[in-house]
Amino acid sequence: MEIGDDGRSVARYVGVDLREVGDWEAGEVIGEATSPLHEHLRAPGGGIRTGALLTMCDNVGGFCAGLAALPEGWVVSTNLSLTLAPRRVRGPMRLRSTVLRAGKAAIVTDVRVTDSGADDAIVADAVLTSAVLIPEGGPPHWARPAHMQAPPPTGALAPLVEWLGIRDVPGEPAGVVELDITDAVRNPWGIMHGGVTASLVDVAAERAGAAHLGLPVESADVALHFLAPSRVGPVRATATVMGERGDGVVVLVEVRDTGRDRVAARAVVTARPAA
Amino acid sequence: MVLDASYPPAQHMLRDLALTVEHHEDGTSVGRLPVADALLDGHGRVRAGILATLVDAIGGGLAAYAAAPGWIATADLDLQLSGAPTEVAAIDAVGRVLRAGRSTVVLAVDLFAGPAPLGLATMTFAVLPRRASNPVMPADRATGPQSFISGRASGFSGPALDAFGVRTVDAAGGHVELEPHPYVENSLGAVQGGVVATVVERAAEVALSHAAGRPLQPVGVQLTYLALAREGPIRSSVEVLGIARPAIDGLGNEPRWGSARVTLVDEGANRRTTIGRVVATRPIKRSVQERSVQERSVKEPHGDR
Repeated sequence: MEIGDDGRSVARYVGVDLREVGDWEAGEVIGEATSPLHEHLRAPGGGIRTGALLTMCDNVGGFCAGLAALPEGWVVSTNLSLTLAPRRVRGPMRLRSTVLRAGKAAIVTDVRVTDSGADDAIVADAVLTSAVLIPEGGPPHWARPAHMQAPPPTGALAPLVEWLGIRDVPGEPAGVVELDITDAVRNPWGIMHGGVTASLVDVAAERAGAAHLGLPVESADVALHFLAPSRVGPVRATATVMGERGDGVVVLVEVRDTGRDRVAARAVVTARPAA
Repeated sequence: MVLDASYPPAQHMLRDLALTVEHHEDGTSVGRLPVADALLDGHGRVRAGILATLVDAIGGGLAAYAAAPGWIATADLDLQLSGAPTEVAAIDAVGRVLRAGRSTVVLAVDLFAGPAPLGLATMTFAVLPRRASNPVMPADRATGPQSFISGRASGFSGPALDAFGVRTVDAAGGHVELEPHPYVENSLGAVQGGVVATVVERAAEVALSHAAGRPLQPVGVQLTYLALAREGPIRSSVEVLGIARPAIDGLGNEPRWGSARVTLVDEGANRRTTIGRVVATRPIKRSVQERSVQERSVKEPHGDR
């Protein structure tokens, strides 16, 4: 199923429905979102893929940061960190984002993810830092209070790895994966969506961690820094296991836009044995 | 290289840590932290918060060069530790700038315990307009064994936590307290970033260990600095995100790891200063530590970094 190529395909794929609930007339920005946890977002072990969760947090936290940058500016993600709670998600999920700090150059938002299917137990806690920019032609217009709706998919979508076109790189060790920059993975500004970078990091870390430990693992805690936009592609992620510890392995992931020969992102991921 | 004769003062935690930091012409910075008993947790490992102080010291110097003539403020710090043992004479660190933009500087710091990789850190600094009170970085980077934090040996007479003044009020709630004083302050008169990390780490350690019913050891710290902590007291609160226990029957119910969100508030200023997320695991068994060292020694010989 095609879900459009207007720069919002990724948002529709992860399927969050976001409403502004704060006192926006007083300058308060709070966003609350829901996601039904579609089948195509599930991890092989049954929970949600960490890449999908990171994408949702990037969407929700970034949208709230953008609202906080209005009326002159909008934002671009600069770094996203996430800590997972040790529990399997049933869904649907609820995401709530608040502004922790709003400066002239950067806005920091947090995103708290809870599981409506498990008495709103905490699933993950994320913080997104966004840089404020002044887009050519002005920032996007949103009627306030804002509502960013994801139409429900009309058919089955491919799982995240397939939908994004993530593939192993022949001749490279486990943990080296890449994808092409198609219109579906671009954001409204024409560069690769931050959630897609996060998903690439997730898959690379999982492959490297599984090869190192010899058993299935899941990406858990992630600290992802966006260093440069990916515009050309293919975009390659190279994951290297740096050491073991009590909860899994620590993995360094470098993301490179091979078409520009530039490092696009760096992430440090903890990959834990899948429950 | 003395940036400012008045900082750090004669009695200061950076001097007692005996840190040395060298800034090199190739853009890297190398740091060394002598390991002393004062820096260890109850399981014989150097505290994650202390290691974050080493990272912060290196990162601050690197970022100051990269941001010149502007000045800098720490925005975030992520530190993830492996299971390598810290029973070495010193922890070494190598830092480099990943990106230097108009508004932010991003850098990486790799930690080593002898030949073994010990941890990976990533930091972001916000670039600020220069104030008259900010130190001036020399035009030429120093090379060789020079440091703005001079020290010959660890100056602690007891645990660093006690010297910093970190006091546990309530373990169950992760309520830890610190009163700002010159010994732990940075050049802006606020609590130094590494000390903030140590408070966050300690708060999570006591709360997670209480929730787990057994000691858990912080191995990962994600920090977001929101405001300077200068008035005091600085107080923490902790939300335990969860404690992981084996999902397989027959392996018992012993907790394996836990994660927590920590909030620091400057009570005097009535504002939130820091958000932290901490992961803590069972204290690492010796066999895992040795295995990690052996693997790294083979794959990444000392000197290749």
